[in-house]
Amino acid sequence: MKAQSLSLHMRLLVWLLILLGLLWLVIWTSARHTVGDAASREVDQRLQTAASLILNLQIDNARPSSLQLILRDLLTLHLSAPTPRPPGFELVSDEVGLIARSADFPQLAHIASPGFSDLAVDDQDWRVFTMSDQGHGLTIRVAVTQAANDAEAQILDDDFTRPLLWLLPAFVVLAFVSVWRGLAPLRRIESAIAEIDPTNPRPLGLDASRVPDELRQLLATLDRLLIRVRDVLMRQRVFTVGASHELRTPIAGCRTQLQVARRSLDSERCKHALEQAQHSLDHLARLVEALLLLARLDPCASQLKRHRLDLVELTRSTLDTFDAQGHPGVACRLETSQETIFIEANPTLLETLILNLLKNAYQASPPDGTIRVRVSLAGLQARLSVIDEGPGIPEASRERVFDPFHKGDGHATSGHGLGLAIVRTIARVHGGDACLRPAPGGGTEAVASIAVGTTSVA
Amino acid sequence: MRILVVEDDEVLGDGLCEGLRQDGHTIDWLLDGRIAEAALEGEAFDAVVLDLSLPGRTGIQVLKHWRDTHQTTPVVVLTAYEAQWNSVTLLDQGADDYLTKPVDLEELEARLRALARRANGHSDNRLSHCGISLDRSDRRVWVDGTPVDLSAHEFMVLEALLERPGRVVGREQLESRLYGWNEGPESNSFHVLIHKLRGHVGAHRIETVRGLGYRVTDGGAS
Repeated sequence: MKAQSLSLHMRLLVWLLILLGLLWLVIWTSARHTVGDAASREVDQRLQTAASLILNLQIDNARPSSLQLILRDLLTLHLSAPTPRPPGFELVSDEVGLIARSADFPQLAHIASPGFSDLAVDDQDWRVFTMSDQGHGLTIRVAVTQAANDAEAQILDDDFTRPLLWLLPAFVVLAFVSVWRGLAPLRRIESAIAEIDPTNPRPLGLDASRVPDELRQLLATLDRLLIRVRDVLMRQRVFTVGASHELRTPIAGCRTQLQVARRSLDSERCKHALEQAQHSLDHLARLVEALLLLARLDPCASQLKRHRLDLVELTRSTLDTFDAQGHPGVACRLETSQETIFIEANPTLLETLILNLLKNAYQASPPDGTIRVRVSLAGLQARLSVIDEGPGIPEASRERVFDPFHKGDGHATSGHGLGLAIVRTIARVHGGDACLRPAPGGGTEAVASIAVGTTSVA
Repeated sequence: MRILVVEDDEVLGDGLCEGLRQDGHTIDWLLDGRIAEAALEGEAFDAVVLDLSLPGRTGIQVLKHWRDTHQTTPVVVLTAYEAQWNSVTLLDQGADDYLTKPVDLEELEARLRALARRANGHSDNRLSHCGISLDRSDRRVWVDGTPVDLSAHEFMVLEALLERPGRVVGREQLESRLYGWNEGPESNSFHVLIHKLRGHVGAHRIETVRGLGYRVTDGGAS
């Protein structure tokens, strides 16, 4: 869980970094480009200014001797701040030829075209601006090396592009912080889940207002699951406690009786103790059988074998079995309006179901009582009712008696407390259910319903 | 000792009663919690063996009722519910001892002996008075250093008398200890028993206090 949560952090971080990196690259490239353009424009503008300045000076004051000095001062003043070197220039008159030329001006006499041009002279790139004044017959050429251009670009670069470099680590930090903060609820939930005690699960109980919308549904589902797991565990625990008690009691009885038998000098007493031990073992065997049956009936276990059988006939034969087992003092009567009710069921399990209900009814019955067994069909369900004339079961207990190992008050030693649990489980695996209700005129009616299945009444 | 067994499982209850009888105790057996609640009133038991899962009332309820009504009889609780009732709860509810099922008879007997002797203020299994010594664990008796063979009933009477040396123990008390509820004594069998016991330990050592009962005395001194 930890590893997965981290990988989510990692994934978001990587994507965010890629995205921010691309963004930065775009900003940086365009800034570089803009700075380059701006530098060129700046240089060009300077050349233009210088050219028109020189031209105007020449026209106004035709003293070339001082011209160079003035120009130098002016241009130096004008250009020295960003550029260490002033531009070179050449002033040519149509009448007298060259009027003035600065020392660093390259030999470019052959250039005549007006406007801007790039030239390579003596291994140096030059930017040259040529301007002519047709009225006075003058041509001015102003030139700076490309290095000057680069220096200008470098200054702009320093001013505008360099700060973008600082943005890069800031982006990384921001990405980390936003991923960490953004996924905080996830980590909170993860730690809440990690704190769940698997032996005693309880709902997470997180404050819904602090949970993001997307996770709210997930958490609600998780809470419901936890509650169900808790219920299952609780039932399991009750079952285990009951089973341990029910298993231990006959073992304790058997052990004690064997100790008594071992110490008995009197053979009659010894025999009695051994019989009692045998009795305990029989009880234990029945209990283990019942537990194994319940385990086999687990809904998760494999599908059980079903046959098409007649419930009326099966009930009749089970009643015969019950009588044969010797249950004196109580009469059993089968009441049904149907000749046959065919159902898809497992005959052994159904017989167990009917026998368990009969045994319960027998235990509740008063001497010379009657147990009525009714088999009927209601819609798609076959219904088997076993009605006794006993004292009845209070409403509060009617559901609890189906819990494994539940023993009603007053039933001191009867059975192992699994009979009705088995009845209900068998009914449920046959698509039905079992319940108890008060019988008219006192007593209890135990009703088990079973899905008829594909075949129906004959 | 006269011991009350409250156990709803018939096989286990029968085994416990039979085993304790073999050890020479008088046993009464109850299977229902409600009846057990009232059982200590007006009856003198030396100890109780109480199961926790009972019909009617749980063992805990029964125990609580006894302690609430100031019944101080020592109680050993039998439990299969170690998860539900831990030893602390049981002892706090007034149990003097507890055993988890399945129970070893010899251990149960030893614990009952320990409870009985503690209830009477003794620290070991040996009771001695006026030259008579009685060992409860191996059930032997010496008179002036000489071993004496006693029947189970004789031993029980002598044990009851020696538990409260010098004090008078009523005949009904001795009889209930001998016979419990089920076996009624024949009319003069008790007198016969006392006579036989006197024959073993010396007639002068067991004195009849008319109208009250019996006590162990140093015959020469009185």
